[in-house]
Amino acid sequence: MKNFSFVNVENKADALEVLHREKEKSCLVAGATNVMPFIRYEKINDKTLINIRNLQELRFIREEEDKIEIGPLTTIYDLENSEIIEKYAPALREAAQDFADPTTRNSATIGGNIANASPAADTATPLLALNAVVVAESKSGVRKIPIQEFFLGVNKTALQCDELITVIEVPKNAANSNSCFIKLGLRNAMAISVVSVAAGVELAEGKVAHANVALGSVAPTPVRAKTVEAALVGKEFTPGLVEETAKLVTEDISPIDDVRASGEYRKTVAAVLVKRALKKSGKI
Amino acid sequence: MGKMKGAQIVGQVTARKDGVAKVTGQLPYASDINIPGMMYGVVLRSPYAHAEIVSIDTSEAEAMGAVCLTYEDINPILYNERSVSVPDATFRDRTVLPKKARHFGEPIAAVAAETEEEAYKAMKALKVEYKVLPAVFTAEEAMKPGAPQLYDKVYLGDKEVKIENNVAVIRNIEEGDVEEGFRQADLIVEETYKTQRTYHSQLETKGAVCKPEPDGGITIWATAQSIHANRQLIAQIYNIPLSKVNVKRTAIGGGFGGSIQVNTVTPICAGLALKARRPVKLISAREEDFYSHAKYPNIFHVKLGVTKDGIITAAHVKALVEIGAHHIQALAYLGCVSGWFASLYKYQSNIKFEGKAVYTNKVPACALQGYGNPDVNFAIESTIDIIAEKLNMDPIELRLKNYRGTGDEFWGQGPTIRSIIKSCGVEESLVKGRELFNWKERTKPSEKTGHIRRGIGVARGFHTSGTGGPKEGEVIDYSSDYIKINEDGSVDVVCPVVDHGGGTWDAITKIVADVLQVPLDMVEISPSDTRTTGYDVCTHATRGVFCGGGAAYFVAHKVKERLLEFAARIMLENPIDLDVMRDDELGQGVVYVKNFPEKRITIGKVAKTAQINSWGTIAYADSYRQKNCPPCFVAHFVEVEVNTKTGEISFPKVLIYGDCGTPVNPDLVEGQLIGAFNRGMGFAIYEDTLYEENEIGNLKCHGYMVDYKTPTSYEMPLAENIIVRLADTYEPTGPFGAKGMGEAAFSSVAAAISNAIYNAIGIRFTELPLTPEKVLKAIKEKGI
Ligand SMILES: Cc1cc2nc3c(=O)[nH]c(=O)nc-3n(C[C@H](O)[C@H](O)[C@H](O)COP(=O)(O)OP(=O)(O)OC[C@H]3O[C@@H](n4cnc5c(N)ncnc54)[C@H](O)[C@@H]3O)c2cc1C
Repeated sequence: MKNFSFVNVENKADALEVLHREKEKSCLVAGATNVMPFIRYEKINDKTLINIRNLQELRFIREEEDKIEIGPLTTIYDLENSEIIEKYAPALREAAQDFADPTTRNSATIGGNIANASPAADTATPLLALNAVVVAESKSGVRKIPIQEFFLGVNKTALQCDELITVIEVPKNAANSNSCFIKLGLRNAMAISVVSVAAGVELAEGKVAHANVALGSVAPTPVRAKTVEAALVGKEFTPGLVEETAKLVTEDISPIDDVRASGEYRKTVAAVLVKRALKKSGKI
Repeated sequence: MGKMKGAQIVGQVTARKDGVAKVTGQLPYASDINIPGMMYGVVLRSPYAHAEIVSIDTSEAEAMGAVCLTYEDINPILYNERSVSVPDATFRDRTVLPKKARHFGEPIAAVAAETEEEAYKAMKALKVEYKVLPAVFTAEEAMKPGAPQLYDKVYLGDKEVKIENNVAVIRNIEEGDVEEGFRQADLIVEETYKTQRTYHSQLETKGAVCKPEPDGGITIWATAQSIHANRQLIAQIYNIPLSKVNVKRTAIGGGFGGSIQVNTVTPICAGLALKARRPVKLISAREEDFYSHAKYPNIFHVKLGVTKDGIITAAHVKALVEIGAHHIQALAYLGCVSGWFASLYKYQSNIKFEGKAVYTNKVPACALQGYGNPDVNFAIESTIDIIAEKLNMDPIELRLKNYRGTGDEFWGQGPTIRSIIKSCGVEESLVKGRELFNWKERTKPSEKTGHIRRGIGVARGFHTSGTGGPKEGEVIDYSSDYIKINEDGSVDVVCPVVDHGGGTWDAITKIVADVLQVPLDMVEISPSDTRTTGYDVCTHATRGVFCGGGAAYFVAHKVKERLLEFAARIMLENPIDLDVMRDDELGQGVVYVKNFPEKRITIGKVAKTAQINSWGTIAYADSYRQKNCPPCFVAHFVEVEVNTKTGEISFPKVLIYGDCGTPVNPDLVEGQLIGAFNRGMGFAIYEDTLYEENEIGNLKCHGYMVDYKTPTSYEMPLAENIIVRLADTYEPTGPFGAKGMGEAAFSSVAAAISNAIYNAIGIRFTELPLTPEKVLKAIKEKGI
């Protein structure tokens, strides 16, 4: 039987208090676009739903000296329409543009997207390529989790049950400013990615100084294409190099067969998308 | 049916009468009906593909205050949910609730409680003991010796039929001399095609509200394409006189064929209401609706013989159809499929069809927009392109040489319902279409390069308009109307015809407005139900305008006769010297003397005079059967882009040519054509319902739309690249020259897309859907 209690919190301190009290029973609710279907499919039960949707203090996009800061309650719509994001993290903006449909984008939040930790989460792939840092807070303090250590498995993260994401930090650098995102779904709108790729390259005198490539929907968590990155760095950035290195992505991913596509298909198109993303980011 | 003079409303773009109510959410659907004291019903569905129901313990649910319904509560009569065929041609294999579950998601029992939540809780408290049986999921497997058997026997009419190897029905048809035809051929092409089980994806999920009446009767609001079919079945199951079963006609949120039959949930809801003696509302969730119907999947083996100058001399089609767990009239389906195939080309009248339908432990299959026409069209229209290439002939030329057109025979509903084609836009569509689409510039697949390859393809199709023929056959077809002129000259049309959203009601009001020559806003369709209307079979088979509108045309003429008689009495004239004419300045219709138009009187004045003089109401009621089933034709010219790196297909451009005779409302016809193109894209490259083929046998998508993708407007060509043209034809047997369009619009989309893909990459696909994955695999195999 479905069994939930519901708490409405008005500020961050209250949220941390309730998380502390409810521990494992806690289930934060931001846009509810994951939580509601989970309730409907009976994937979660016996929880205390903690409504944080009204925590406007956690809905912001700020520019700091060397980074940008995104509040977890920032909606996908906000990401899509922010000049700061467009300038310093275009991959995130492109992911927001490809995300679901306008009504879902108005509700869905970035915090919910990464905390839900779906391998297909569309902001997770860019955040991974952007070397973001997740700031989590509980009554016992604040800690910073590099995004590479944040995703542990399908719907599993490094967050403790009493922790709240309070900020997502994205460093300001050339690779991030050049970043881009490409998603392949079963149709152009309202589709879960079959494969998604985010890439950011920084060139110095024609050579690759930094290459960040991440993929979604090809493993239990979003993954970095370490083999591809290593094969790029220090080399002259040419179409030939991109063509060759993109193929190496199959070393970095372990896609499965599911109702949307086979692992085989994902491998093939992953290489195609990595190539496209690298070319777009490096502008060749 | 004759032409009218003057500014005709039929043929003009007019605003939909139900438009405002729809967009403001005020048009009531079954799920909007709320009655004081109403309970909520919930269905318990089978967790197995195939299982005996050993026992059902309802005690706990009843202790919670719920009313429970199991097979023990219901008269175990066997029936077929679909009743458009005559009883002798109708298979009966099901009861309201079964003693054996034959597919995952089949309703097993139901409960009603004060709230939806309590009903769900009570449903979960039902204890069912199952004996799980092995299940079978494909037609080929089901026919093997030793395969799990779904049925021992069923009934055809009153005759008992033994079921062996799960074969539900076999239907073979042969005409002419097929062997001789193949002997005359210079080239014989054979190919096997497969089409998949798609889901209707209609907006409104199936539901009903049932209210028991103090006199022992029942009132029903249900998702239905035919109110009378619902009434007759409920009356039969629950043994209530028809006069006490009233099914209200409501708006419905899309049909697509899924509610031609009485929906499974409707008799369940009625059973709950009768047992509870209270109104009950039962609305399917989307994930339940997925388990209530799907399109028939088919395997076609096609063999066509052709001379070297492109005359097709014989055709042989074998169809293997997997129907799922119940018979929703596969006999009629096979007959229709033979007709869609037989009526596409002449084949020198040498035709052979062998159809077999097989039970499996899947969701029962039923009609979906075209009743097998888009499926067999995909097979034939692909084969025509294969032949054209082998003969080195233009595919359009080959089609023009062989199509069935004016003067040829057409099978509107299988071999027993035939008519002679009297209006035909095929030639116009193909000849003008190829110019508009720059067909001449089409290059061969071998000439294309790069990783985005463009191709263009064509296919043509049709559908019947209704199921009437000069001779009555195995399908019932007529409609009824009661039309009356009110005392101000406005008109009420009381009719049983259901409008799925395609604009059938609008068409009927326009037809009546033109016959009686009154302004359109002086004609309304009355709310109606089975008590106040005569019979109408169903809004199916693209018959709404041609048959429903045809009956309204007939009855309106009878009303006009009455009107002229009364007017003649007032005007001291002879009725034959009078006629009617719309006067837009007066906002009224007027009766005038034909040779002296200045002598006139408004229709309202006639009606009012008749009333105050106690002559009576100017009205008429009758039934009318269209004795024809004219084909409405379409041609699709499609341009595709195939990405050879990912297998993705996109649609830069399409030209859709439609022939519906007189378009009663051109905008709505265009809407049908464009909407059906979108659905055709879904059929061609997106949609399928896949099953876990184990003892559970659930859908892989679990009935969630998230994993059942249909194309959105994003996948469509840009608006300026969707070109729609209507052929200039006039159907002499239709109201004001009109035929239908709905199902035809869908018929040749998949074939045209597949032919265009062939033109782009030189790969012939024979199994739908053409998912990117399937396309990419074929591209790799070919080494492009
Ligand atoms: C129709 C539809 C389409 C969708 N399409 C897409 C798509 O295209 N791409 C995509 O990536 N996703 C898609 N989703 C999934 C979903 O919308 C996203 O994952 C969304 O970003 C979740 O955000 P939310 O605010 O709604 O999260 P919620 O559902 O409110 O929460 C999700 C999870 O995050 C936790 N959580 C929320 N906020 C915090 C926080 N501040 N700190 C810690 N934990 C937190 C919650 O406890 C919960 O476990 C779709 C969903 C729907 C219903």
